[in-house]
Amino acid sequence: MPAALLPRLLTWMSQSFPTGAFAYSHGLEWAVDRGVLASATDVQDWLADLVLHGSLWSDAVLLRQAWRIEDPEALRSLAGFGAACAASRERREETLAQGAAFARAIGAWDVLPVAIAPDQEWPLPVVVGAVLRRAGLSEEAACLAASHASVANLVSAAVRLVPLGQSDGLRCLAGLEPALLEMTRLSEAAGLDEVGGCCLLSDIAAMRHETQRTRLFRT
Amino acid sequence: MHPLSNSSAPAASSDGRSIIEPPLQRSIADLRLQVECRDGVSRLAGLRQRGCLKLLFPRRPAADALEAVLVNISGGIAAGDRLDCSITCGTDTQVLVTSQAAERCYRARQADAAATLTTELVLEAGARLEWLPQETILFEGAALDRRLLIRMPASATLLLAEARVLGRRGSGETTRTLALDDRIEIVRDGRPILVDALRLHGDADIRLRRAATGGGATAMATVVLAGPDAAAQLEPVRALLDIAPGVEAGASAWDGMLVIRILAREAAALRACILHVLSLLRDGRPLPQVWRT
Repeated sequence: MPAALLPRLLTWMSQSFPTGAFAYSHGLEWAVDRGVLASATDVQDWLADLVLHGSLWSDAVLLRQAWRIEDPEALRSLAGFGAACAASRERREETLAQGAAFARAIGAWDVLPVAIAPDQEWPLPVVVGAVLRRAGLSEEAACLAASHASVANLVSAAVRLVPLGQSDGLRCLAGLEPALLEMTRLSEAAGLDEVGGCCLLSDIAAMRHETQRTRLFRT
Repeated sequence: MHPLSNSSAPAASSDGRSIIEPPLQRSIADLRLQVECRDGVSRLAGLRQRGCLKLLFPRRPAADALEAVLVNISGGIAAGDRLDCSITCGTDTQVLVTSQAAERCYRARQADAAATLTTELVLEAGARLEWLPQETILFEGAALDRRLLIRMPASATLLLAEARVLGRRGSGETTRTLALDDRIEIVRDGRPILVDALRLHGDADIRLRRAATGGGATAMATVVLAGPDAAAQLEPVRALLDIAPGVEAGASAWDGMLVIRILAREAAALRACILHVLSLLRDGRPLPQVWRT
């Protein structure tokens, strides 16, 4: 990676980059309320499954496809497909709101592909994949960086919710590195036929969050 | 009994090395149905059935709707089967498709290709299609690649239920080896609105024990209502799911559709819950006979 790219990547993938990620728990809030996630180990297992067999896996597949696509029409079509992959109303809002916010915020650099216009909806992994390609990042680095950012955001949500100590959260992040690397390896050969998985209770958690009484998070 | 189920030879010889196995006989099917509405009544406009998939037309559930029952005369799905089904519901038609029995998907040998089932449902303006097959039972070692693609306009209404059960019901059989790709894709006015892909490869029993996956469930269903009034059913469905025994379930409505996911440890609890949901979503109209027994 050229040295000039590193500060950009760190900025774009930082939790302070204004995508509003802190407001989304991806259904974790319901699972914590249900008592399913009570410890750092529970959180780590839950997130490892999302990475290898759930929504974060699908996001990685979408991101890799977005990175590879040259044709603007194909990118728009991928965005439509990606939005349809959302498992619930809040999941859809989560990816589309963050996709739009990322595209706006990235305007400070000249790296937004022209195809990504606000006349249609753009899921986060499709925007990030296309932008990081245009910025000169390798596909593998883009996949790993974006997946790590998603996981780090959810660990941060879990630390606030469970509640876990800061060191529990950090151990969780460290413990998730093998799953992230494994997912990055496996997703390289995965096409759009391989989106999906079996994190059914995570999807149900996202649905049930809609009616949760006390909510800190939007999803 | 499936005609091929006795031919599942051991995948390895006694010294543990793979042995060469002869290819199995495969089932092939190509089923095409067209329904049209004439004088307010939905009728057969075309039917072509080649191979092991057949349709029965048992009765008229209502004066103007057409009911069709899918039958797989091979008795079940084995590795390498290729079943294609295409149904076109013409303008203003009302169609209900179900299946005569639960579909059984049998063990594949290690080198066998997955069974491939492709179903394409096309709805034209104002059509209502209810796609309500009975559950698919996946036995230990099953390999299934199934695609359900629906194309519809915003004026049409689709109700679909797909249920999958791992292992023999009531036997406590575990499913240690599975290769399942089961995808539902709905395209409305040329735009995909739902891609729901269940993928389970490897030790499904262990995979589904985890908190984020199945929490120990072995039976799972997706129910979708897509149409002009879909969102209005969200609250009643949620109220029903809240009191359904033996299931973990959720519902959400967005983009002109209502999506319901149901998990259960027991196939019977899943079926009971689906029946209640379908009864609600069909305004209490009686379900096909095959669902009620």
